[in-house]
Amino acid sequence: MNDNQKDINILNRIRSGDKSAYKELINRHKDYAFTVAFRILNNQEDAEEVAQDAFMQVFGALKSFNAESKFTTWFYRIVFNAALMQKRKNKVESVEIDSSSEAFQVSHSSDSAVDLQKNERKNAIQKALQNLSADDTAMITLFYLKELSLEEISEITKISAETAKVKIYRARKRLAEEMKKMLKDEVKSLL
Amino acid sequence: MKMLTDEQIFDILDGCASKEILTQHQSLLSKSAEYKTFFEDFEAIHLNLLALPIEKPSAQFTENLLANIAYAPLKKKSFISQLTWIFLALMSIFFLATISLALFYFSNSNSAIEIPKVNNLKVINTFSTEIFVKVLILVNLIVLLAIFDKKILKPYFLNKKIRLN
Repeated sequence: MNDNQKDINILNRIRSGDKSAYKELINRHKDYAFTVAFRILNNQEDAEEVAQDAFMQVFGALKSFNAESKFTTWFYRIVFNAALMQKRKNKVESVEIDSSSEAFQVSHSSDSAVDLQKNERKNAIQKALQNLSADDTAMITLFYLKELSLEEISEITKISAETAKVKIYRARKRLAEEMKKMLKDEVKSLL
Repeated sequence: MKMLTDEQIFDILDGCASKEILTQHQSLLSKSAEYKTFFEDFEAIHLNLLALPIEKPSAQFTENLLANIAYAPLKKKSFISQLTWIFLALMSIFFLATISLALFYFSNSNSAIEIPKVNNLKVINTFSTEIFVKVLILVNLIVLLAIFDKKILKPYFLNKKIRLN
C-alpha cells in the first residue's frame, strides 16, 4: 500500500467516525505542513497556526475531497494558500530566528573544518531563503521538500508546470545571488 | 567553447538535461576551470537545499489541534436503509412462530383436523395457481439479489477501487 492509499484509508476512517484516525493523519503530515508554512512565514507561532488551520480546513472539507486525486497535493495547496494569506495579512518584517529556536537546530557534534563549513552554508541558505519573497521560498520549499514533481507543484500553486519550472529556476537563481551577497568573501573564493 | 546557461545547469542538477547538454557539460568540466567553479557553486546550493532539514512543530501541536476538533458524529443508519433487515427479521419471526405453533398444536392434539375444501373458494384458487408461485419466487430472488449487491458487491468493488488508486 503506497502513501496515498494509506492517506485515503485514514480519511475513510475519519469519515466513518474513527477518532484515532484524526491523530494518525496529523502525525503523518504535521512536519511537512509546518515546514512549508515555516519557510514561507519565518515565524514558528504563525507557521503552527497556519498548519493547524490547514488541518482544520481538511477535516471540515473531507466531503469535497476527490478520492481519485492525491491527498498531499490537496493538503499542501491548503497549507500553501493559508501561509501566503497569513504572509499578506502580517505584512511585517520577518522575525529574526535566533540560534536557540527549535526550528533551526544545527548539529555541532563535530568540530571539523569541513563540518563547520557545511553548517555555515546551511545557515547561510536558511537565512538567504528568509530574504527571498514568499513566492520564491514556497517554490523552492515545494520543489526540494518532498521532491514533488513539477505537475504536483503546478497543481498546488495553480499555475502551469512550465511556469512552475521557470519560477523555480528564477527562485534558485535569486537564492544564489542572495547567498553571494551574504557569504561575500567565502562565496567569492568559491566562484 | 560556449558556456552553458544557468537554466541548463539547473536542468543537469535536476536530472532532466538532454544528452547534448550533458556532453557539452562534461567537455566544459574538463576544459574550463571557470565553468567548473561556476557549476560547483550551483551544485553546492542544490545539494544544500536537498539536505535542508524538515522542521518540527512544538510537542503540543497534535494535542492542541485535537482539542480544537469537533468530531463528526457517527452516521446513524436511516430507517429506510434498515427497512430490508427489519422486513427480513419480521418474516423470520413470523415463520418461526408459525412453525413452533404448528408443532405445538400437532403434538398436543389428537383430534382430526378438518381441512377446508379450498378448491371451492374462487379467491384462494386464484392465489394457489402456478403463476402466483413463480411470481413469488421471482420477487424473492430480486430482493435477495438487491441485498447481495448492496451488502457484498458494492463494498467489495469500492474497496478494490481504493486499492487500485
